[in-house]
Amino acid sequence: MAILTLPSWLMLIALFAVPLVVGVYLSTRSDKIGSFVPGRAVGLDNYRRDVFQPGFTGALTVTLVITAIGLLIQFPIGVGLALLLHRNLRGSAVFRTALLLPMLLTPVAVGLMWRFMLDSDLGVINWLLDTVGLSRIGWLGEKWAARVAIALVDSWQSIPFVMLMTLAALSSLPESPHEAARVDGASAWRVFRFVTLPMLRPVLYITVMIRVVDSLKLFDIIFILTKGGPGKATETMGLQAYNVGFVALQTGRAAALGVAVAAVTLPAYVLWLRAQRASQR
Amino acid sequence: MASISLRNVTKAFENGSLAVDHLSLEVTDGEFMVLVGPSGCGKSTSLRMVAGLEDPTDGEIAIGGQVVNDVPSRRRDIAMVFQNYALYPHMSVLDNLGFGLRMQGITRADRERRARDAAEVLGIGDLLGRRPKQLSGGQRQRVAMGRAIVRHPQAFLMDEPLSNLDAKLRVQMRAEIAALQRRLGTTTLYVTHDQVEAMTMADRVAVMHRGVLQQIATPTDLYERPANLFVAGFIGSPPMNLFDGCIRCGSDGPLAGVGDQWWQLPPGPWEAMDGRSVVVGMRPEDLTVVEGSTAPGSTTVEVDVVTAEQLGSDLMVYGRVAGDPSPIGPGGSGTPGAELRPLEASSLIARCPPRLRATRGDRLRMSVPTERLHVFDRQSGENLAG
Amino acid sequence: MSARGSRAGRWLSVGLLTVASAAALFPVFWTISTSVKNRVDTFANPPKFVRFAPTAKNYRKLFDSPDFWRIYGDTISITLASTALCVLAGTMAAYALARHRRFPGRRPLEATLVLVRAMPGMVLMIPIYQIVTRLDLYDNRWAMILIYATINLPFAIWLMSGFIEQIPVEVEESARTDGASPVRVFWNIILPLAAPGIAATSIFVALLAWNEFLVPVLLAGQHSKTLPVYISGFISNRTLDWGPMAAASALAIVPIAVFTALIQRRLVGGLSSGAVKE
Repeated sequence: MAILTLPSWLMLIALFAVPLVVGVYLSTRSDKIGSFVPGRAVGLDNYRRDVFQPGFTGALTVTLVITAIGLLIQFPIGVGLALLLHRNLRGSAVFRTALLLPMLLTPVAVGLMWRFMLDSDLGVINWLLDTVGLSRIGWLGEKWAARVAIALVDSWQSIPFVMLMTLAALSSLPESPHEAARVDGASAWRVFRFVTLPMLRPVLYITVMIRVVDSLKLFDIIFILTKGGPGKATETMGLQAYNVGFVALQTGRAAALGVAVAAVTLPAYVLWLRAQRASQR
Repeated sequence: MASISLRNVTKAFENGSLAVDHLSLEVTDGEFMVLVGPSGCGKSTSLRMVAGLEDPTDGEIAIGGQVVNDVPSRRRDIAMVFQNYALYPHMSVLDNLGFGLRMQGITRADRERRARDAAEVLGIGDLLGRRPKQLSGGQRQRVAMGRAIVRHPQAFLMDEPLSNLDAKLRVQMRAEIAALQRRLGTTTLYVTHDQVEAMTMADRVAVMHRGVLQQIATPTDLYERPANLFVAGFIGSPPMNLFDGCIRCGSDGPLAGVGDQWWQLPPGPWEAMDGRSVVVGMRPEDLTVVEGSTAPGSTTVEVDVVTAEQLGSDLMVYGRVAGDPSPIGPGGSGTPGAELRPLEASSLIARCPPRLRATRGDRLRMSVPTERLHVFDRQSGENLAG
Repeated sequence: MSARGSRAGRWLSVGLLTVASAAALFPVFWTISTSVKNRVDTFANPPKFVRFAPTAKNYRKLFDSPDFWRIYGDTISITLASTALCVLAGTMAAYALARHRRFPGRRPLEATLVLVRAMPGMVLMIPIYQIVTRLDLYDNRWAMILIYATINLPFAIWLMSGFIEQIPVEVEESARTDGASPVRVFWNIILPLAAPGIAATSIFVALLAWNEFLVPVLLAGQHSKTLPVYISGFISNRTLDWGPMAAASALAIVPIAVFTALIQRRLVGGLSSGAVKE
């Protein structure tokens, strides 16, 4: 049976394991893209210069902040929509299709469209705020507004995922505990709080984990919306590595940042793997 | 056709516990052998080892005299019928029947002819174009059977093939499968948890419990002479009545003391067992209500009626042996099979004629032919009458 | 199924779902409507939602450039090739993982798949860029196809093993006792029964490939540029040409929207089977 995994192994070794090793190697060298001077070994200089510096911890903070805002938006809305769809009202199938769509769209196109919609002068969002009597917001030009904007657009794309996972879990739950609780006189809220939610917990746990990991990976939407600006307000770890490696062309330093990113996200893999193994048992 | 033999076959689970514990079993050529036991007794695992779907940890399996431990399932030339039928959902009935033949490289025309013959035998000739999804449970069952017979294999292996059918169909298919097997004369190993299936279909029945073979015998022998307490409690419905007692050999011949009653024992090696703690058993249908004195060769059982169930054909009387100080109670005496005794306040069930009148509080005098009494060792559970 | 809440509760639910659906669909609508507006209408204040004279000018501009067609075609071919490779390798591995509790390399494979799935792309793309340029594979379609297939492999395997687990083991065992060899079992039993799953997985993986941005933006030059890179190119222009940009975006997302509507049920079923495995 192991033979069946051979093609997968070949791909994973060539395009995951090898690059990983090369990345660590590059992180100890001074290579630059386009430079005629060959790189040389510099030991841990790249780490000293880039990783253990406010620049990197700042990017880490930005990444975590955007992830956290995103989760706070995605989960209440995603779970809420799943609960509404689970009631199987007339037209649920149509709503489900509509609500599913954002997840599948090209992030670059999505980012551009939102960038247009969030434009502070001409954007339809600010026009809407104006119309309902709220003040306009300089969405992509202000530090916190930009972070929230990115979390919003990412959430717009990922709410369907949260919703689908919750919906799948809901439909796999047995009906009888809910009925028993209702017969016992529990209100709808209490049924949800004390019966539904605890039963959803395993799936929600995995969903949170997937969403955290994907937020840490988020690149294209930020690249399109702000490119890390204003200043470095939305420069996540990924953007930082990109800017160092492919804008400043400092391969060695970018590789060191890459290794640091991999290390920082390590707890997420461990948790994920553990959750996956737990669900197999 | 071929015999199937298992020699000291053992299957250990990953955690070290034994699913099958040194099982030795010989299904002779053409025989219909039923493996029966409660769920988790290792019967399915045994069958799957014969099929080659699981590897024995130890021991030897032979089909037709050839050891097949290292022969993959596909080369064992056996056909298996699964509990959920395991029909190929993407193939028509005809293709389902023909798949095994196709694997043997038999031409399409021959395949079709043989599939049609098999379908005819099973009365599904008009369903050949359908997909499994379009069939009823009973029809699926027939296709599964057809898939087995079409190949003329060395042996049929059947894993609870009837348990997904409703009660009525089950009774019908039971008879049909048994008749079909006798007609074809194909060696068959059949697994079920249903003792009625075992009793009605088998040439011989093998009873398993916790991975260990308890007894192999013809249905009649199994019923008449259960080898131990487990078999006694498992075969028969309602189950055999069992009572703790002890043997006393005095001037009145061998007796078993149960409560404050003394029951006469059939002739046997009792002398050597004077004072031995035993379990005495009697089948509900062997008890008859008598007036006055008991006929010779029978012993009397005084019963206090607890309740009675009118079944129409029979009256089931639930009661306790008068004066039995330690009635019932699972684990009361720690004997194997103790958990199988009737619970509640009755320790005895008697199958009586429907016209009998019995209400709570009545004391009935019943008689049992002494040769119908079963005596088991309380420690080992073995049948002491031999 | 009786007590589904009061009438007012039902209306509230439908109301909320309508608002959410509108929020989900509006950006798509806005993209399409911007793509058929002329410049003046695009920047009108208040915005013009429906009352404007539609124009095909933006699309004509795209269609007139030979680049666009080449890029659209390249995106399709890269997507299809990488999907085929990914699903083929993924189905094989998923079969092993779904059916065999133990085999050599199972645990390392699981761990590696999680790592690939979870690791931010930039970590790998920095060294991959170096390797690819050294091997003279920059702007090479085959390199991109392989990379796409690898990064989507964990997802494909995860989804496929969900589908394969749904095939009753007994059907396979039955085939084995019927005399089928392992290859036969896989070919005659597993593949046909997993076909709907393979289709759903292929669609998902194709979607991911179609949408992929990081890999082509770093590795594609003029000869293998894909649609997302092309679209992102509009922002580097000083002028921010919203009309053609919206048209290009629409051409990227409309096929997806159509597909979604068509295969919606299967898609949900596919994801769900993965979500609630036991």
